[in-house]
Amino acid sequence: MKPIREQNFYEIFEIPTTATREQIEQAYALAKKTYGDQSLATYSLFDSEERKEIIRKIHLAYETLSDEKRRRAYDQDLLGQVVPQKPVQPVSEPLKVEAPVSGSSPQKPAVQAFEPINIDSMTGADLRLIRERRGIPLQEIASKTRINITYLEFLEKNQFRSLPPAVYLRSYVHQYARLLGLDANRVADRILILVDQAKRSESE
Amino acid sequence: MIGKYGGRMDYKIGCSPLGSRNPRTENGGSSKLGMQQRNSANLTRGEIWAVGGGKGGTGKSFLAANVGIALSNQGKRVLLIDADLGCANLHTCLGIDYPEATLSDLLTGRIKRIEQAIVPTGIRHLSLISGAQDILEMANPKHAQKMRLLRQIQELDMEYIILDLGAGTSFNILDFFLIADQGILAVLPEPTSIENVYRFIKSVFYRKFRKIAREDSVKEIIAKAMDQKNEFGIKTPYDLIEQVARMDEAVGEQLKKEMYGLRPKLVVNQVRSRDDITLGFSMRSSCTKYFGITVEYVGYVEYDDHVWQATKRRRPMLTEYPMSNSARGIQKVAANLVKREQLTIDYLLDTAPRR
Repeated sequence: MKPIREQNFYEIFEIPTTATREQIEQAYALAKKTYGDQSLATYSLFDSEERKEIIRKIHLAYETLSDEKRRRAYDQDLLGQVVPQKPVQPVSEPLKVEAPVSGSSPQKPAVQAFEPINIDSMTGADLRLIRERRGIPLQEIASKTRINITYLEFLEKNQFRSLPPAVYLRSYVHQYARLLGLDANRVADRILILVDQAKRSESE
Repeated sequence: MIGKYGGRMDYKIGCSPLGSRNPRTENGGSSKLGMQQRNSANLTRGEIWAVGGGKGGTGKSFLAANVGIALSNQGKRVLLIDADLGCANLHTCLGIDYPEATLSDLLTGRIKRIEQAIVPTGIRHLSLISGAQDILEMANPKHAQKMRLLRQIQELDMEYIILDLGAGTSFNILDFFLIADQGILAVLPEPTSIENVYRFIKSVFYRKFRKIAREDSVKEIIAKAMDQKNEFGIKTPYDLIEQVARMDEAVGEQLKKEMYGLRPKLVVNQVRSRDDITLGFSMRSSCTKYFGITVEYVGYVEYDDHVWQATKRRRPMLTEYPMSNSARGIQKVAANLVKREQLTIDYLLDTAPRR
């Protein structure tokens, strides 16, 4: 979990990056109340300096996210490139070169023939696909991130209901995606949306 | 995430074979206790809910009694247990006299089985085990007595067992809270109550952590972490885990897992304004950001003259005034607990008590 000072504007407001204007307004109102001077909920947890800093960030977040142009620029800066455009070298293993696609040049790396994966519509299985394209064993991800390999397997099999709560899962997915060279924040947002959807459908 | 809290149903309520029960006890309930007996008996049993919160007078007994009644009104077999050892008065909330057989008798050995202390309440499907009263040593039973009691509670054949805990953060109270499948925190919209709830949450974690830690050095850090001005600069359970992980990675990982399992439920009682309702959302948010844990806001109960009118007459509020605002609040809390749901922030837009 990231300390509050390191959270991005969406994390501060506890909303997805796809949040509507109404959600932002609601979240802003709640955040102001939660961390304001008169808040009963936080005076015993954060000192006045910490709360001032949080409030400053809340205002900044609101100013940015409530202005369409500024939000777009922020999103671009925060979320960056959607699709990995070029093959990333594996962390420690040689890149697995798949059988060349029919008609393609044998010298051409197989990875270039892969269909790009859009982060906004990706699933846990896509993470596995990208990892395998990079030739990185799951065990290596587990040892580098110190994430329980079972959770990584659940993630890759889209078994979202077996995963830990969002507050930890975000960090897990973030670390995993970063090792794959992906836009970690965006991937984490996407996976958390899927987890949320899975939990909702479970209850229906 | 805001607007997306609804709808979790982790496992079926009150109908799983005990041998396979609680694959994920939400509150980290100790499934080891009595497992052998349950497996062999192949009984069925429901859920254990515990109502705590640290401070006295926040409505724990009121909540336990009335949530119990709300469930029993739906035809569920419910047992209320007054686990406020030493100051039991749940029977008064239900309008019945102090029963002849109570937990005291079980703890002193006058009765052998917990079932012998179960008494009817006059409300269909709802029964009660009263707590120990006026026997000072009962407030602090020996460890073996407590474990025997917890084991017997877990073996009871009921759909819902609701434990009404006493005030404070003694080990006994924390252990009862930890055994439960759902731990419920009653809080008033007042500074003292809120501070105590945070303290209670922290104590529950550290109690749980202490049970996991075997190394004396780790135990020592956990003990010291309870002091806010400790030498390690540990302020939150998350800081503690980081510190422990630096000393013993495996224990650190285990503590982290325990953090996932505990999802205390918050109920704000005696709500008088929209701000009081919002407090629940704020507390939930601050617990995530400060403690790094998930607290679920399952509902609130409005401040209502009907409550004290019923209390004065020693009658349960839900029976006396089933159409009151506070009764509606209780029913919503009970429904959310059963369905594993919680309030969403957009709830604020639609409902709020009149000032």
